[in-house]
Amino acid sequence: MKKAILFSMDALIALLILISTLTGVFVIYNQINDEVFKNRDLYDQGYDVLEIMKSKGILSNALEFDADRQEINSFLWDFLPSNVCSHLKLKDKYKFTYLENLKPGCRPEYGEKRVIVTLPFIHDNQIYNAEMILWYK
Amino acid sequence: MIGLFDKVKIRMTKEKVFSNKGQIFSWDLVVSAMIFIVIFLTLVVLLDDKSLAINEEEPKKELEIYTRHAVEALMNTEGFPQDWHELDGINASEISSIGLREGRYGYLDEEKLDKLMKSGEYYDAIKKLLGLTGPNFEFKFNVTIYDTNHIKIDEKNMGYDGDCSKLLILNRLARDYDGRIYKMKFAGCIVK
Repeated sequence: MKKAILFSMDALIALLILISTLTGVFVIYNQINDEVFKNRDLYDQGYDVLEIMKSKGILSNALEFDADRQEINSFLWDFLPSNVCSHLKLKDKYKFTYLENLKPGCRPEYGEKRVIVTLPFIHDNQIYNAEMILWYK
Repeated sequence: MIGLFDKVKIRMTKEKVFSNKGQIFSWDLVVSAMIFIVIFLTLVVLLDDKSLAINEEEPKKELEIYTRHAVEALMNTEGFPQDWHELDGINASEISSIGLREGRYGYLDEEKLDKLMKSGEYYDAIKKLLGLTGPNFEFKFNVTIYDTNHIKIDEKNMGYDGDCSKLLILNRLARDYDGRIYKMKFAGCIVK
């Protein structure tokens, strides 16, 4: 007598459905993004720095014809953490970039964890926008 | 005329009638039971692993939420009443919230900061007012003050000074009306 294993399409389909359901559940479960405050630290630090540079007139001074660009460098060097890089652009309302500044010691190689902070300010009765990209070294 | 189907049917009926063997063992059952056991064990192991990770992660998330709320309140509000720093001590029945902002232009109020940093004896009331009410939650607050030329002129600390099993440090920056810059480190902590 020959023995055989009963093969049923029902069972096969049921097994496939079970496996795909379980796989789906675990994939979705693992993809749940629990980083509620993702990059929030970077954003807050960038915003604080821009806000203070704006209120101290550093951003406005940088747009002057004979501006001392070292003022921005010195501020960023002193008050941004050493593991944080920044790339600052000052643009007018037509998005023309008047000034670009990369924090000393940084290369413009933005990592995955980067944020963009923008803050409008007024200089010579014109609206400008400070745009700062921040990322971890 | 007996067809092929009928012959098979007759044979099966005879076998069924004359056979005295019962079938209590089936390969289907064994295979399906094995598959079930493997899947069940895998699920148990994975869920156990996940639930351990969740139990580990939950207090950290809670700490992060509470600490961020506390820092937001400190950095972005004046507190209530606005002159809370002029009251005697820090009493949760008189003060609803603590904030370090000054009314005009949103600068940091040096007097409020000074009052907070000198109120170590009211630590529990401050913790409650900042909303750090989670189980075993503590906080540390460190402020370094720089003059207008970015030269460090002072450093102040207050809060819990013991060890933490979990720690979250938030760095913020603010300036006062006179242009002094305050580098602040606020640490939320869970003690063992």
